[in-house]
Amino acid sequence: MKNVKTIMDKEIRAYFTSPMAYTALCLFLLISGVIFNSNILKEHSSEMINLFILMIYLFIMIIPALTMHLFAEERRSGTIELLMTYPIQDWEVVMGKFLAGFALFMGMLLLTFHFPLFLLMWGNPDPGAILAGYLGLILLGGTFLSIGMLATSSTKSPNVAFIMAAGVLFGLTVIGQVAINFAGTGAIADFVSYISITEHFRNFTMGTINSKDIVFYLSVIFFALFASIRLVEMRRWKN
Amino acid sequence: MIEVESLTKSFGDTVAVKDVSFNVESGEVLGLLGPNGAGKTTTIRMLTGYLPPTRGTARIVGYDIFKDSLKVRRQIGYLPENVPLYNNMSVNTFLNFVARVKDTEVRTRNDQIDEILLHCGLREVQNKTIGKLSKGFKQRVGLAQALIGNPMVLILDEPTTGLDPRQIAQIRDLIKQLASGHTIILSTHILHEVSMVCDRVVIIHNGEVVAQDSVENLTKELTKTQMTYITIHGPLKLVKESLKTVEGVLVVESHPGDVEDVNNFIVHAQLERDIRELIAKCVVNSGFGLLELKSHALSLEDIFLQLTTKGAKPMNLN
Ligand SMILES: Nc1ncnc2c1ncn2[C@@H]1O[C@H](COP(=O)(O)OP(=O)(O)OP(=O)(O)O)[C@@H](O)[C@H]1O
Ligand SMILES: [Mg+2]
Repeated sequence: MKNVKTIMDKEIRAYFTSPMAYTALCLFLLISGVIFNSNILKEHSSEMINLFILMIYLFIMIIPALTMHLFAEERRSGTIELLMTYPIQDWEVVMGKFLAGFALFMGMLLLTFHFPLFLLMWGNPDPGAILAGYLGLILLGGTFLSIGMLATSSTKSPNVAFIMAAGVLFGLTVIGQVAINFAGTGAIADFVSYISITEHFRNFTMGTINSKDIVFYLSVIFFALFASIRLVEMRRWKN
Repeated sequence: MIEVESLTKSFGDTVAVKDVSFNVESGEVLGLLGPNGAGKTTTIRMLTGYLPPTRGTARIVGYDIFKDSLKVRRQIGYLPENVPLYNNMSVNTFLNFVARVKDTEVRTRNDQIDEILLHCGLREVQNKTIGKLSKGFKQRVGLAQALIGNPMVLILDEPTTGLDPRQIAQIRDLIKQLASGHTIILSTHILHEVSMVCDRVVIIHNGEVVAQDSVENLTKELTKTQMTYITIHGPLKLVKESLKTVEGVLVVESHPGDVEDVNNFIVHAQLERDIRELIAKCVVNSGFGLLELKSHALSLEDIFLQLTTKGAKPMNLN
């Protein structure tokens, strides 16, 4: 655990010395702010669902930007050789890096808390739905981050890691739309909607917390991180 | 302290390291010497747990490099080739990170880092960003991170490559100071470096060990003979015969020249006397034409070149 924390601290520090994290953070806050203004304040709606959905689409770009460097950059610059020869285990490195990304992501969400605050002060929102929505966002963000980890663990090019992660996340997101379009056509639609990251998010925005959805997100996170660790180990033990 | 047993590494069809075996005693400085592509880095990467061996094994402080990788890594300070460093960190931040990863005692951590900063001459740049340092300072930061945690074994891959002569001298001095408290393996393709800082040398070429001996013995070997290059106008066979009669001459190599009856010879002789005068006399007395004569003390470079050039066997000249 001590080593996980050490790696996590190193990566968080790296985020704050690279322009990438700042840019992603600012873009995210700017765009969601603009949407909040036009969509919610102007239409006098007290629901955050549209904003949440928009955030998901922003995450498709922003989260790969946060994870792309984590391993690929170490490989590209050669520092991976230091990291892999320090007395620290591969899973500790992967977890530390993942948690650093997760911490930054949580910070990002925290900076959107003035949106529900506005609604609570001036509107008539359903606090349960908002809280559930945020829980959903946290789980979904963790899932996105774990897939970003998988991408960055598998290449030595940060750009390739970005494109892979963004591509997969986009696919998993729009597959939900596909499922909606073909809804009712049986097993395939059910399956597609089951693996759709956004379909599982829908319940949260309506204020219902299903253990089925939580289990889905947690399992994706678990398997993606497990696979990332194996990828890193494989580079050490096979070749 | 370090036992390497038939370490072998193949990348697909290419065998980068083949059956490399050697031992390093506690407190010894071992030079891993070889030309580019010899397999030095690959050998070192297996020892440090970065690459798995295809075959063979090694033990460092009694621990198997594969089965007990983590324990081995606790005993090693490693400076990789080309010195990869976190360029966005300051020297201090980086060394603190390394100290945490190596799990050094918290109470004495800062003191140890201070000591290493001082030792490596990094005091005045400790708050600078690593990426902005000169190559020489980066090299010191690389050495400093290897020293954190006071490991018993230091493994340094070409620690002076890419530095200017003054920096090279400084880094070598630093390594010499470290030699008193550590067992060191350092790789290099500079012979001079080996004779300056190493106790023993393992010469590898095309992934195989071609010679290993103490630097002292190797040097002794060299100083036994001297070489003289001669160009003579005269029939090759006759000239060769008469050169052999000169006192002190051990071996005469002949190389036919481009012009008829102008031939080149390399005369290996005992070092005790200067045989140039004797050779000149002999050539003139036999009625040949002496066109060129220059003496050449056999250097480490020559031994190295001959060892790493197929076919030549300079070690049995005596
Ligand atoms: N990851 C790899 N994949 C394929 N071949 C490799 C790999 N690493 C090294 N080699 C090959 O193995 C051989 C030995 O390389 P190595 O880097 O160990 O040599 P070296 O002695 O360190 O050379 P140099 O003095 O240039 O650093 C070379 O032919 C190299 O091309
Ligand atoms: Mg090398």
